[in-house]
Amino acid sequence: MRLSPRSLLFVLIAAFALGATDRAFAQSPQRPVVELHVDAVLASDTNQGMDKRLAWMGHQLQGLFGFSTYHLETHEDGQTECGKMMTFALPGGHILHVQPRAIDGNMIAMELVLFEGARPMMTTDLKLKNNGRLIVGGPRYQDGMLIISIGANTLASNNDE
Amino acid sequence: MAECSEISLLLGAFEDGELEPHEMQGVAYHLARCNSCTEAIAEIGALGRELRGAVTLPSLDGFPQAVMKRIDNLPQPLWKRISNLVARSSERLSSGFAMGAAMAAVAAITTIIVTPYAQQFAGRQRATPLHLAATKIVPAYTDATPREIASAIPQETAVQLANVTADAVPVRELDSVTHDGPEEMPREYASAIADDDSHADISKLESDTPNVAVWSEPQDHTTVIWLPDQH
Repeated sequence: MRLSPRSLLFVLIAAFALGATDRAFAQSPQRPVVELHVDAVLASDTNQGMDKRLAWMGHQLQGLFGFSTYHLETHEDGQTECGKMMTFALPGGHILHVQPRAIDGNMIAMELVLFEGARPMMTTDLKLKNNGRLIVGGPRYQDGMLIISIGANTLASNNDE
Repeated sequence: MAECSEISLLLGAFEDGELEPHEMQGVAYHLARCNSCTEAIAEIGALGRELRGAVTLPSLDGFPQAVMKRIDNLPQPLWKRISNLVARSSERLSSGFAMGAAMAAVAAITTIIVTPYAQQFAGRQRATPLHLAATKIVPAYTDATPREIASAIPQETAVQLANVTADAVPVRELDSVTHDGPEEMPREYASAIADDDSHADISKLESDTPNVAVWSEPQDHTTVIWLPDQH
C-alpha cells in the first residue's frame, strides 16, 4: 500500500498524539502497587529438618538445595508503589532494597540490591512474573547459608489500570 | 477608372491588404492593365520584404515566467495569500515528513540490529569456546545441588543456567560470561533469561561474587540466583 505524504502526515500526528496520551497516563499519580513477600531462611546441614513455617515451600527448598535443615529466620510482607523503594532488614546484617519499576503485562519490573552491611553484594534488574518468586542464596550465615525468597504480585485493585 | 496618380496613393495599402473590398477590386483592375503601377507595387512589395528581414524579433525565452512573476506581484486579497501559503507549506511539510519517517524507520531498524536485542539473538545462535566449555561442565552436575554447581564453575567463569529444574532435567540453554577485571570489582552478568518457560527476565546482574549461578524452576514459578559466599 502506498501512502500519500498527507496520509503519512496524518498517521504520524496520530502516533504522536497516542504517545503523548500514553505518557500522560504513565505520569498519572495513581501508580500501580506491588505486594512484596521476603523470607530469609537459614539452610544448613545440622539434620534438624524443615521449619514448619516453611511447609508451603519446603518441597521446593528440598528439591532445589541439598541441605538437611531449613529454618525461617525472618518473614516480612510489604506494599509499595512502582518507583518507591522498600527496605528489608535480613539476618547477618544483610539488607535488601526492592524497587518495583513498572508493571509490564504479567511481569513486574524491579531492581534489587542486596547489601552485606554497607557492601552491595548483588544488584540486579529483572522482570518477575506476577506471583513469581526469586530466590537469592549463597551468603554464609551462622553455620549454614542464607536463602532469601522474594515474592511479588500486583494488587488486584490496581491491575485494572 | 482612376488615373495612375490616384492609384499610386493606394498601392501601399493594397500591398498590405488594408483597402476596402471595392477599392481592392479597383486597384487590382488597374494593375492588370498598367505596367508602371505594376512595377511600382513590385518595388513596394520588395521594399516591405527587405524591411521585415532587417527587423530582429525579440527573444521570447522566459517571457511566460516573467508574466507569471508580475502576476504574482500584483496585490492579492488576504484570503488568497493565506490559501497560497498553506498550500505551499503543506507541500513542503509532506515531503519533509515523508523523509523524516523514512529516516526514523531506518534508525529503528538500525537500533534493533545493533542493540542487545540482536546481540541476545546472536548469543543464542553462536556458541563461544567458553560456552562450550561450560556446557561440558554442567551436564555432569545436573544431579548436583546448586552449591556443587556453583563451586564447580571455574573462578574466572560466571555461568547462567536456565531451566535446570529441581528434578535435574537436562540443561536446555546455557550462557556464560568471562571477566578479566580485578577480583574485587563488581562483575556484570548481562545476559538475560528470556525464554518461554522462564519466570524472570534478568536484564542486569552485578555482583562481586566470582561465581554466580542463575536458573529457573518453571513448575514453581521460581528463579534462583546463587551467590556462593567466598569468605
